[in-house]
This record gives sequence, structure tokens and C-alpha cells, in this order.
Amino acid sequence: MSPCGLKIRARWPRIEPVAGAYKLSKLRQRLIKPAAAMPKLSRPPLRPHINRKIAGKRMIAILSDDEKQNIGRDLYECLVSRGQEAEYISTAGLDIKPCYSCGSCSTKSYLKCAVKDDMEPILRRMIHAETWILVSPLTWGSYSSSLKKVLDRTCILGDTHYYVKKGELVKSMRCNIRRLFAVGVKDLCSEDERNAFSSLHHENITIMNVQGKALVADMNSEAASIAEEILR
Amino acid sequence: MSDILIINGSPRRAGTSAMFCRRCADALGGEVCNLYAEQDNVDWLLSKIEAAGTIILAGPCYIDSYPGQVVFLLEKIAEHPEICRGQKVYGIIDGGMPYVHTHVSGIRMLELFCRDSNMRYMGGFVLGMAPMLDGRPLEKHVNAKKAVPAFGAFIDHIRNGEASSDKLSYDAQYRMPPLLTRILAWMMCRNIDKKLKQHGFKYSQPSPYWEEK
Repeated sequence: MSPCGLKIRARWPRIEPVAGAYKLSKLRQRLIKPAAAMPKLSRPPLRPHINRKIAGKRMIAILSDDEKQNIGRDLYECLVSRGQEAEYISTAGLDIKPCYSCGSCSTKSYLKCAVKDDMEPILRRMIHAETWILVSPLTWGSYSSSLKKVLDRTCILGDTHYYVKKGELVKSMRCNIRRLFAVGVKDLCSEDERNAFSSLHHENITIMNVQGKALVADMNSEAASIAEEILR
Repeated sequence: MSDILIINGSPRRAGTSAMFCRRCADALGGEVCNLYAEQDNVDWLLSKIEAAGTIILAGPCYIDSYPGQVVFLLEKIAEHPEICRGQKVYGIIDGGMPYVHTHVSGIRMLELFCRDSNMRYMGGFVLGMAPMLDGRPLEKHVNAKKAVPAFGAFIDHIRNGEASSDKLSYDAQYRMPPLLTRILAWMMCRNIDKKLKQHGFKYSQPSPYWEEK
């Protein structure tokens, strides 16, 4: 008894229940409101936590430790000039506490971080983005501490469940993220460090179940070429 | 051997990293320090690092590497190059996934740090499926048969001051059959849902951060 059905019955006087007439009224219903009158299939969506309203937007969030590099800022300006909807989040100068592994987010305050600092607005912005770009000075094949602290805390946007992919256990994300890019900024980066950075990023995208690429840039790198790599 | 400094890089004082620290201290002596003893300040550790001959850094694996606070400590050490006098550095990292390749990036970071600073990287030990221990001794690990002797060999390497290869961890890795992986994933998900239910939550409820503010 959908409200829609009632409306239709009011408009079309009920015909005496003859065998053929009933079918006809059904047909009328379909003709008047083809999709809305039909009951929706209650099949659970694959990833119920995805916000479908804005999932279509290709939004980019740039998380950048810009204390020692300005590639992140250049990249943001470059992406915006190309008509991309991007957000720039600088981790420098923010009050971000490290994750204390209190376990509150998986028990007492499920999906909410118990630590109160500047992290909340960052999470509110990053949860919507389809593409995350992490820009940081390449610090021994990894991210700088101020970016790593933020990244550790974004675990709250992760799925607590486990999945199996290519025979191995993986996790997933409970936000719109589809692609994760890492840009390490360092002049004269050694081959070993480059390999360490790309294998760290490879592990990250595997465990987060997303796509993406790790890029190493130097201080004079063109933001446009990095943007091209990301938008490809 | 009293010049050993053992750093617990985990915010938890009674977790698996702390267990590793205790185990090292029992076998080798030396002092155990908690990296998170002071909030956002690691300067008190620098003098201890300068005085030490061997440093053992045990920490958890957060997103495939050491936590941000450990990187913070390494950055602080790099700012004071005078405290690096060729100390031997060993790393221990314990993570949730059963695979060594997931956690080994933390050890690589430590190696690259030592190469940049005047410290000697001597080796690392990686333990998977560490949360199941939750501070209990290594003997309770599902892979104890392999992990205990491998960690014993790692301790022997530290005692003798010799280099330890990653091979130790890879050999001790728990090889999970594909079917068991699927069963384990299903069981863990079920346990998570059950635990959430006890706290009055539903697994699929949306994150509060979706709302724009």
C-alpha cells in the first residue's frame, strides 16, 4: 500500500474486480508512473557507507606538509586552474596529536575519534574526497612526521572489517576515496629511497583497497607534470 | 652490556611492543623508555640516545610503517647530528596483518635514517598478527613455534653486536593457506560486529564526519 498507489486509485475509479480489468488497472499504474510506482528492490549496496549524493563528484583533497616544500600548493593551484574541484589542507602549524591507540573509535565511540584537536575539520573534508594526494618532504622513504600523524589519524575513516584480495587479507576505507597519490619531495633522492617510498605506497593502496601511484619530485619539479600524472 | 637503550615506540604501555621491550631487557639488560612518556616532547630521550651504544626501537605498525611519533623522534635526532656517534640500531615492528611485506617499510625507514645519520643500522625484526598477543608473551602467538626461535636468534645477534637480516622475519612468517585466510577474515568480521553490538553500535552506521559543518 504505497501512498502512490492510493493516489492513483483516487484518480482512476476502481473498476469492478473482473479478471481482465484488474490487470488493466495494473497496466495503467505502470503507464502513469513507471518507476516510482514499482517497489524498490531492497538489495544492500556493496559499500553502504559511501555517500552516494556526492560520490559522483571527482573531488580532490591535497594533504600537504608545506613547511619545507611548496609543490603541494603549486599542485593545488594547477589542479584548480584545470577546473578540478580540489581542497588544500596544510598540516603545518596545526595542533595534531598522535594516535594514542586508545581503541575508542572501535568500541566506546564507534567511528568517532576521542582525541580533540584540529583533526576533526580535516576528517570532515577528507571523507568526501575521491582522490587523496599526500605531499610531503620525502623523509627516509616515508612521510614527514606532521603528515604521518595526520595519516595515522585518518584510520578512523577506514573500515574495521577485513576482506580477502588476491589471497591476502586487506582492509578497506569507509569514505569516498578511490585513488591515493603520494608525492615525496626531495632533491637528489637515492634509488633505495625511491624504492622504499614506492613500496610503502604500494602497501598503503593494497591495504586501503584503492588505486594510485607514488611520485618523487624535487623542489624544482613542475606541478603541471605531476597534475597530468594524477589526472591521467 | 648496560649501554643498551630500548625505546617503546607504542602509546600503549602494556601492548605487544612493550612485551618486546621487556623481552629484550630481560635478555640483554638495558633501560626501557616510553616514547610517549611526555606529550609531544621527545627531547628528554636525546641525551639517553647519545649515551647509548646500542638502540633497540620497538614499535607498532600504523598504516604500514612506524607511527608518526617515531618519525618525529627520528627527525629530532637528525636535527642534532652531534648525538649520533655510530650507535648500533635495531628495529622491531609488530603489526596486525600476518605478512612481513606489509610492515617491513618501517624497518626500511629506519635503515635509510641510519644511512643519512651517523648511526649503524644492524637489522630488524617483523612480527605479524601481533594484536592477538595484546601484551601477552610471544609464546602465546599462533605462530610461536617459528616466531620464538626467530626472535631468540635476533636477540643473539644483538648480544653479539652483529647484523641481522630480514630473512629471519620472512622465514618466521606465518604461511596462511588461502581457505584459512577467508575463514579468518569472516571470523574477525563477526567478532568485530559482536563487539560493536555489545557497545550498542551497528557496524554499517555512517560515520559522523559525513555531516558538513
